[in-house]
Amino acid sequence: MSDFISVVVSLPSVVQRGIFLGILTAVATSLLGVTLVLKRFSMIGDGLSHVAFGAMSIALVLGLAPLTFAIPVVVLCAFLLMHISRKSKMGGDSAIALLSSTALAVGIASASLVGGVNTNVNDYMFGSIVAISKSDLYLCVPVLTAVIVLFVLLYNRIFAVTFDEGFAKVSGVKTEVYNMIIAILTALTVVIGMRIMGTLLISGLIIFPALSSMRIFRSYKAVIISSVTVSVLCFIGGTLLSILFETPVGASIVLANAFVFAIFTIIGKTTK
Amino acid sequence: MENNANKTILSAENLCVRYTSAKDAVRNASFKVENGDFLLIVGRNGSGKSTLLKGILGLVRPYDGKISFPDGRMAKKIGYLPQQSTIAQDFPATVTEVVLSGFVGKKGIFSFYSARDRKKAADIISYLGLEKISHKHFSNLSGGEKQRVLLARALVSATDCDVCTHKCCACHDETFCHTSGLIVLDEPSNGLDPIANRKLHSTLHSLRTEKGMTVIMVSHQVDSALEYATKVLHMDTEMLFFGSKEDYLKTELSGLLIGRREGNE
Repeated sequence: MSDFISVVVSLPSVVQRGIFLGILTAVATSLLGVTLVLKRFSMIGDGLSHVAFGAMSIALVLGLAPLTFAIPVVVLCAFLLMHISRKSKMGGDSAIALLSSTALAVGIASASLVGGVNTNVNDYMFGSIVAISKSDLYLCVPVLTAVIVLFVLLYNRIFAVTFDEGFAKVSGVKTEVYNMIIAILTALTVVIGMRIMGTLLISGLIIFPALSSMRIFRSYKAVIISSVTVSVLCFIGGTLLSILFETPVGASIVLANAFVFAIFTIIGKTTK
Repeated sequence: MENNANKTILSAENLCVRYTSAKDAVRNASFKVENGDFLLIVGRNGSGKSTLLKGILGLVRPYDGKISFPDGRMAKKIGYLPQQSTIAQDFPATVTEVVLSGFVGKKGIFSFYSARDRKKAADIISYLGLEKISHKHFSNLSGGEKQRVLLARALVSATDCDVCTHKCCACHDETFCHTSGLIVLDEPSNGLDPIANRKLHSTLHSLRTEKGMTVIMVSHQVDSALEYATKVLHMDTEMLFFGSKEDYLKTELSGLLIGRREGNE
């Protein structure tokens, strides 16, 4: 850890910003990931990140601030996805697939209008640790902090709604509101996280820590704690790998998560 | 203890429920549940039993008629045991975590469980004989054990000593206040072996006779459930029968239902 800190201190401030925001994102995604995986919404992160890509590409064409434009669009789509998966005869996975491919098509078509896949678009697709500007940081840190604080404060309610929505409803909990809160928090985290992880890899940061932790741990609290720890350590490990081997940061972090998942699966099977 | 026997705690008048189509799922159901009753709701598949239960629980809104709780507090003190198929069987949670989640409707939005909550959960776990598995993981339990854990959660939700503190009774029983408990169970016997099923019914009987709780249960396991029921409601979209178990057993309806089960076996 001390080696990591000394490496970070020696890095340019733009990279430090990326690492700081990345760690916050890793905490937020891992908290939400447990709920999303357990509610069988693992792919919502993937779908929303494609929507964010489409929105950011449109923002580039229109000359708008990408994050400021993308956040409300993605939140709106998160509402839409939740609504379709609950009320429509079309399943949640089909809705995500439809929205995902449409948004990606919109993004690619918009990108072609501004001269094809340039550096900005490439960053959105595959992520970049140096893509975070100071103004991004001022917007993202309060949002991510709010996501984490809200999750901790609503911990017991989120557990109850995730474990058994019918029971929670009978007990007087407005489950639709909590589902919407989860959707909004996920949308916000995805938009911010995809700047570092990339559209194609942000869902890895959401689902891997939760799935890895569930290989070993069987209590909700242990899964949450393990998930946050795994997520942050994999982010740090992946970033170090990325710096050492000059590989894309998003891919390196997902590879670190995949490695931990394999190890946890083996441990889980041998200790059963 | 205050005598609450024969006190109506739930009343349905001409209840009609339908989903999106114009076809009624429940039509003109009228009945009353009194404190300490064990109401068994029976009927063939698709007869509206579970819809009626959802109406009682407030999960579906009747388009005509009404459900009322003459004792206003009751609406907030229903312990619900859903069908197990609605719960992910591999969910990572300990028995204690599941039981404590029964407090969810009683706590403020941002609140955490107090020492008193944990004691009450432990008392209920102990009453149901679940101490030895209280630290086990829900996913590792047998079907019967899972059902008892979900019953413990329902009890946490259905009992509250607030009634005592409101001086409506003087039972001084923080875990089971005899005036407050209503347990609603939706086909709890599904997937249970006969021993686990009998144990569950026997526990419900004890809760009713020893703790004064009221039970409403939908079940296909009519034979064993009838042993403990005090009232029966037979549904076939409309209410075909509502009354005491003794009267029900004299009807052709009961013979048909029980006879069909025996015929299958």
